[in-house]
Amino acid sequence: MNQVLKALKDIPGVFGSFVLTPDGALASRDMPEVYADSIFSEIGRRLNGISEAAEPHIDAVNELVVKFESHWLISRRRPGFTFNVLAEQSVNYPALKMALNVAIRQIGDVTVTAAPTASAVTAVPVAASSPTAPEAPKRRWRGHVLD
Amino acid sequence: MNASRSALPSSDEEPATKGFEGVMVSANLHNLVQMECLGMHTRMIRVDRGDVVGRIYVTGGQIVHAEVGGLAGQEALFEMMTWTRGAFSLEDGVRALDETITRPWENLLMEAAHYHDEKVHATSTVTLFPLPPAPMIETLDMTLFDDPEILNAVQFSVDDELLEAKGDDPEALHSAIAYASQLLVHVGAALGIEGLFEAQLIGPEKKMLCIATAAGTTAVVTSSKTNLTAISKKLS
Repeated sequence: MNQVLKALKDIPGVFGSFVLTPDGALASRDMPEVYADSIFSEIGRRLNGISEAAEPHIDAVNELVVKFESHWLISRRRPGFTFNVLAEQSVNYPALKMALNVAIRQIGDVTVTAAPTASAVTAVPVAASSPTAPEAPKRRWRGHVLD
Repeated sequence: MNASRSALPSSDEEPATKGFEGVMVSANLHNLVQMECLGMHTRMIRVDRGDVVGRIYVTGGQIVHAEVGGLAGQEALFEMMTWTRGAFSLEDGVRALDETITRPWENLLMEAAHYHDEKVHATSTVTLFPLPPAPMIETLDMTLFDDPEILNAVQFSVDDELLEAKGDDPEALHSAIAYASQLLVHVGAALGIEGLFEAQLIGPEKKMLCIATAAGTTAVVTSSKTNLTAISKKLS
């Protein structure tokens, strides 16, 4: 699976990717090592919460595209896993969508399991244009502090 | 400093704007225009008074055009001449495309002074040449709700006040969007990214688009065949 994740970097602007289990736990990653493994389970839990909140209105969520000012997060849900890609806003989105199709097809209809240890996941050095290192979460929405 | 869209630089001078700027603290726009005319200049005088911007074009020492708000020509010039405060800037070599004023500048300024005096002494507060209302900072586009492809929709302000809705149970949709938005902000924070402005949720039968602007948030639910990019452009 690590090779599948790495292959996404063929698309300029792809910053990294990670795969989560249906429960939101981290299964595999190709993200800069500045990100601790623990944040991905938090992200997975929140992505699942978003899907659950939306499903009464659109039945099911197969794909989530979240646009921030500098980066986009694309999350595709399949029965056995969730495939997530973080890309720069300038990424060639049609090319990325096709690369995602290929990656998900290569993974196939499997149910991934959580990575047993931190060493089992792929970590790569921080890219020069990486987003800022994660800090204490800021509850903001379009510049407005929420609390 | 931006030149007016209706203005072009003269061909014999540099296209880059040159000039200076200042602040009027008394009724000296009259004197400023007079100096430009006496100096036989070709310049655009831009006058800012809060959210209203006016322009006076002087070509070869003659006032040839003025515009402010929805006014143009002599009326616009007279209106600006009543201003006693504001900021001005001069841009060399900028000519007006439309020449709406042909009278000699001396007559114009004299009449403008009369108009100013009459306005000051008038008991009525009605403006002779009313300016259009100041534009809103930003408003949400409500017309999109008439689109038949929009099955359900909500719009709410930055204070989470529900402004407009379409479809059944808008409160539930509002709550779902508000909750999802907060989770997405946390997802961004975990990844070290900020500035959440759009989310698309795609299901087998329906899609959901959520757009945040300075005026508030709009969320729409559509069929799976709807082009969300087109709706996003309308809402952004």
